[in-house]
Amino acid sequence: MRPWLFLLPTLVFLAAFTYVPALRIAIEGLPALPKLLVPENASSLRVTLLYVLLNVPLSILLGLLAALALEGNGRLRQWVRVLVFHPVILPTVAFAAVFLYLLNPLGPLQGLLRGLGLQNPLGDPLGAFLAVVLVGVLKDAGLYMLYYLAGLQNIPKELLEAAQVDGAGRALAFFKVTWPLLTPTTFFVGVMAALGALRNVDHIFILTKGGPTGATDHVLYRVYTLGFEYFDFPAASALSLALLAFLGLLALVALPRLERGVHYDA
Amino acid sequence: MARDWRKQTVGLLVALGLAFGQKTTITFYYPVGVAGPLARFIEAYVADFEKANPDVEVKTVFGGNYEENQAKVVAAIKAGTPPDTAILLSQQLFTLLSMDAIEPFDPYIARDPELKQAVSDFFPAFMMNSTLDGKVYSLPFQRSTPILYYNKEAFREAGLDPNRPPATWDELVEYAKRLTKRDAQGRVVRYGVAIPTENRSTWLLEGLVIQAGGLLYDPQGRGCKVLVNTEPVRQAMQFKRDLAAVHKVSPEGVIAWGTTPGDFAAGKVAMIYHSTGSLGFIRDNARFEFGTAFQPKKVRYGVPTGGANFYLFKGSDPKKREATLRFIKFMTSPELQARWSIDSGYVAARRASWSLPIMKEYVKKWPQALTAREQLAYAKAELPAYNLQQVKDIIAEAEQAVVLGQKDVREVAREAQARVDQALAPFCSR
Repeated sequence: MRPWLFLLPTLVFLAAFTYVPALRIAIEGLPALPKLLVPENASSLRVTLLYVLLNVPLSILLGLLAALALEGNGRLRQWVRVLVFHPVILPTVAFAAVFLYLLNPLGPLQGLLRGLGLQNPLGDPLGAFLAVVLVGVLKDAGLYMLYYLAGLQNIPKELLEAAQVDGAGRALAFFKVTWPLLTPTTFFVGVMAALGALRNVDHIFILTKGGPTGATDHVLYRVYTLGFEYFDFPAASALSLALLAFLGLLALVALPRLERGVHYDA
Repeated sequence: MARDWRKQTVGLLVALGLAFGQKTTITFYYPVGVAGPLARFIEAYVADFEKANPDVEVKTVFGGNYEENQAKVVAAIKAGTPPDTAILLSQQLFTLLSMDAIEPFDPYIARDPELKQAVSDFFPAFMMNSTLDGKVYSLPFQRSTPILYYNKEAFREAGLDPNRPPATWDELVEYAKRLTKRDAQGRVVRYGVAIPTENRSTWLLEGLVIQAGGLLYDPQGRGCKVLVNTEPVRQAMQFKRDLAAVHKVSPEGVIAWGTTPGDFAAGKVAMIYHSTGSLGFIRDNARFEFGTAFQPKKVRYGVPTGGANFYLFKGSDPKKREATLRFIKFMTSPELQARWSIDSGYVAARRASWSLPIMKEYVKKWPQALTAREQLAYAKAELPAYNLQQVKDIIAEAEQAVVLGQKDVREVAREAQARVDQALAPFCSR
């Protein structure tokens, strides 16, 4: 009896704000599943997949590189760490609004952008997509850096010294010692990054509203559009259900496989 | 001193308690659609209303932009707690009717001479989206038309007459070519003209379509006939494309709505198409002399009206309804409309506003404010349709595809027409 009593407050809130609405979404969404078979949804799915495929590796790589470069205690390093980390603290909306200004065709970066052949990045499908990816990556990389810094601290120095004694160069030591021992961190960061890429779309509201011509129409943004702009709640519920099913599948099938490559014995 | 203060507080609390006993509380949702501190103005008007009507308390809900505010009101309706009144786009009439959420004003107009007077005093162009089958479903509040803003200093620099803005599309292109300024390397420092292609909105496109002699909908279509596959629509879309691709006087790609007034005020674009609602922002931020003008014609002048109106929602009791109507009358009175127009740049919707001393003085100082009012003579109702947002999205996406040069305009218009018809079918096949 006691454990249930302790659980009660949490359960009441979860039931009121998660379980019951989820049930309603299932009831409303299931019959509307066939409605999902329209070209707009297919294109939105393609956009989302590309977004995840670019966003996840890039943000992990950036986080890892920053951690490797900024490990240790120098004062300069601490400051640069703050610089890399600060987008995590900023509200996504504010962070994205800064880019709205920077990427304006007549804004401060116009020379650079013109050099890249992107005179009006947010007004161009490819440019807008890359901008959305860039903002997402920069926003999250700082957090992943933090996890990697923690991961690096857990690697026993003796192992690296032993590798050095055995004549391994820095690159070899990284690939044979550091990287394998970071796999738990990478696994965790990877899961976080994938979930983040599927869940965080605030910057799309600010930068592109899914446009131009649907180039940044992330599935979650589309759920919002269907539900709260077209007021087609069945279709929005159905799309949420589909997304949930996809995430569930990912968790059940893909994660255990990936986890096999993880070393937990550092 | 301290005791005095305490006594006053007690007195105030007693007074408040008494007041609460008889107070009628009404809820009011409102949006802000253009740049500037407009929410603060609206809250100040509400405070003034409450001061003049101590028996009414207005609970204001700032709903965000037009679309977000609409979403909040619809959510409230679906939850069974509709607001007493809300300011929503005038073109949402059919969507709101399909939800069976709103009531016409007619019974109250018949009973209330003041309201009747108000209805006949609004500019007819601003009532076009309000009426259906002879019934009045909404009253104008924040109304606008899109106009042409131009930089007079840039005109002088380019050898153009600053008091003769372009009157036709051809002139617009010709002027824009002269106004586009490049540096030694051939990079553009100032564009000639910018016509935003906003995501999710068809407003500026509608203006171009009217100027080309068409209309985006059939006025007899009762929200069910949206016309995309027509020659004027194709001309309008192609014109926007050509400004950048052929004439090179406009930035390539889709031009954002939100940042355009800022670009104009910073002198980076010499002419822009934008809402009169942005006049306040441009007035306060441009450091050069600027003019406003009718949007140039192709075969005729014309723009859609825009902006939002007061609606009455079903499910209000008579006491609340009476208080709500008193509030709406206050907010649409000539005095308040004049004040609102001066604060924001929206067009005062009452004709009587314009003969008030404060308005006359304002217009003398800022004759730019007159353009939108005069342009009303050429204005048409803004696209009224069921399933409004989806219809607008389809058309806006088609327009973007043309502006980006992704597809041929004929193909785009044909496809968009088919998709629009499909989006309307569930509401219109009955």
